[in-house]
Amino acid sequence: MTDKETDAFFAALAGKAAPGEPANPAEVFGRAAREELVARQAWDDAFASAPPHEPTEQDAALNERLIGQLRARGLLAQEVSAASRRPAGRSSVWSRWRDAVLGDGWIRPLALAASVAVVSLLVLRPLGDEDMAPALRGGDAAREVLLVPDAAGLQQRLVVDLTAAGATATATQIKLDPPVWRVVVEWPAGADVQRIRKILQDAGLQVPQGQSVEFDVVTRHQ
Amino acid sequence: MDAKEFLRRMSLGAREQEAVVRELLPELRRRTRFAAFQAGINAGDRLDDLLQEVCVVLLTKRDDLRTDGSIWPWIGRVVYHKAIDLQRHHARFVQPSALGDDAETDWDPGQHGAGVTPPGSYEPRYEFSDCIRRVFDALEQEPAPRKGSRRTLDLLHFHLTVSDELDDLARFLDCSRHAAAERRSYALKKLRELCARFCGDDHCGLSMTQARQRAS
Repeated sequence: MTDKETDAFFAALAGKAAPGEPANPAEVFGRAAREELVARQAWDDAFASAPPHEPTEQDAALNERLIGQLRARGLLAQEVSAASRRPAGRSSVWSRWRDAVLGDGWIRPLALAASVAVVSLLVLRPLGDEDMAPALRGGDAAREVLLVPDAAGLQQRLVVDLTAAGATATATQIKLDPPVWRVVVEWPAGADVQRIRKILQDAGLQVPQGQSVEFDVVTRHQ
Repeated sequence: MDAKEFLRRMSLGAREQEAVVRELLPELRRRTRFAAFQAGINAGDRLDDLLQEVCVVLLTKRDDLRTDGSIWPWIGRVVYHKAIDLQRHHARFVQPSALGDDAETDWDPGQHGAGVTPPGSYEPRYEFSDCIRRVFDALEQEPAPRKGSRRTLDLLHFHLTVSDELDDLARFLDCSRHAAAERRSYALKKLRELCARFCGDDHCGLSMTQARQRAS
């Protein structure tokens, strides 16, 4: 490669090539390189500096049509109901669980296993299969499940209130996802039974006769 | 949206991918419409074909994304290539001067923002083979030869946009005039090597240039 070729290339790259038929191959190449560099720079500048404007209804309709075309090509899920769409930027626990179970990532087996555990806890136990009860519950007491927005907060409040009322209340966390709080409450004969019952009833529990109750508190998916 | 968040969400399955595409589409449409207008590409009713092809790349070739920053420069490059492919495919070239009165430009400066001027000085031509574009794609991926040194692409940009004087280039590269001349010679050699690697088009003017050069 000669200096003359290099000079011709860089002259053409700088836009200083003589007009008309290029004198040598390096000049052709320089013109092509200049054209590409200019085009890229112009595109990048325009793409980065597009003025803002609100999408029109027509744009929204075109976007929906495009989503449908991508779905028809098998690139997106086939059916997504309007109710299942969430607003942009919002990621709920429910949607993350759904994506984990339905997705194709490494987390899917774990999500399925956790789902089975939660379903077993929430659905099968309250159904009251008496044959399985001792094995599942580890005791004879019937156990209710409280589904609440903030399980950790509720169990803490209950333990404090019930203890203040003279009961012995202990809460044990079972490490599931979401975590389950198992609460065991016992009260002696001299305790303020009326107050204890009211606390439990206000929390949504059916209080049995006797001097103890055991229940689970679980965070409800939003 | 940055690249890390984009890749994380795209790995969560088809439904999350749709949510991501829905989030990106309005801005993608806005940017693409404007850039196509500025570049003199008559998007018109083919804009949605273009956006669809870009979405296909986002959904199927996201592993090509190699950045920690914003995803928009990468998307912009994808749209650039797809826009040119589409333009070449349809072989319909519209001069920028004709865009102002063209109802199919898909961009109305009066409607879409003040201060938007139609392109005038820049007249792109996309007549060369894909190889030259791939050459510059490769150069964009090329790391600096040494820490603190300039890449070949930086050298070309400097020569194109700042100064074509060798002394200025030497100062830019922080080297002697002789070394700067060597770097220029190396840059041309590198470009030709890449061009020869990528070009498979017998009708490419640059490829013929190579042939003519070999013959001479």
